[in-house]
Amino acid sequence: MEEVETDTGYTTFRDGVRSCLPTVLGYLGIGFSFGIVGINSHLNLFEITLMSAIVYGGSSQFVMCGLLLANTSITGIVMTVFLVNLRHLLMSMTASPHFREESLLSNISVGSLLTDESFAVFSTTVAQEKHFSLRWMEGLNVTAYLTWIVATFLGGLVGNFISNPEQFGLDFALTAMFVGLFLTQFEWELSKNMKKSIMVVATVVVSLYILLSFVSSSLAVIISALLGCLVGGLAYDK
Amino acid sequence: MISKSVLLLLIGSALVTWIPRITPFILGKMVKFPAIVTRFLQYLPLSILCALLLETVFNAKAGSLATPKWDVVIALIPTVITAVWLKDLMKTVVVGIAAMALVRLVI
Repeated sequence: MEEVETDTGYTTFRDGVRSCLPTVLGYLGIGFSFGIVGINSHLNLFEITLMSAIVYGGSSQFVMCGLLLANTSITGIVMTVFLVNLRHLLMSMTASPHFREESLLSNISVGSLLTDESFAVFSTTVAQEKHFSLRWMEGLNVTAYLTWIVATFLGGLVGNFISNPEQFGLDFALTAMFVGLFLTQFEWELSKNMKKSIMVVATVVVSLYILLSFVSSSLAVIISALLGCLVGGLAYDK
Repeated sequence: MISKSVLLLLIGSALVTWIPRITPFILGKMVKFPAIVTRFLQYLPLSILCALLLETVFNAKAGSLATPKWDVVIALIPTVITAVWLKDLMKTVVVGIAAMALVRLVI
């Protein structure tokens, strides 16, 4: 990728940091409320910070806290975390071809830090047909990662004084971030192929709603996203 | 500082999260994915962001129809308006959090 000319704003590590900034507030809100929830789930500050550093998966960490409080077995929790985070497999499959020319170690580092949000920022960049460098991607990923850990730690510090972060609306940072990320992506896809984008979104909406009655919500997300891909891919040439 | 069972839990959870994340990146170095896979995955960003967003809106219970979380639905209104109007993720998140705090204060 080094040989290819990269676009201004997508070249250096610093550019990556800048591209991450719009999502930083979201990470702070969610990470902070996770820290509070973690402390109130009888984990200590070290444990929740370590969890954010090595699991690094927002929704799965909230699920872990809930299951810990419900006295679920370790095997049960680990299996649930696997299912909740399995969607990353699809995101990594989508993102990885863009890094084929980079070293194995760089590939592993990009994959290790891939999140819903960094994948969204990355995908919008791809949809805009911008050329980006590995350094840019690393700047994006590392900024998000560090923000997440710091936010968790800070939330953990005040966790003993606040038991319910929901009253401040902090948990809604997740939904609000998905609103912004989804609409940005949707806008680009609409401008490229309006009919197909609407078909894909309609498929996901309908199938997700139906699936939620039958399977766990993490499986429903994966299956409905695959159905969306199926419809988009089959309508390819029209 | 850390109990043995929590440490075990964290390591297990970290591994089952990490492996699916990096496997495609390792495989992608060795083989090129078939064109058909790439063709379908082209729609993954749009599909999965849509699914993730909607997932946060519903209370799901197997065996019965999903019901909307009404506080989320109400807070979504100013959030979506802000997102469409200002096209600024940070402002969208601020408005969203404020709206939700207000909704929970009232309800």
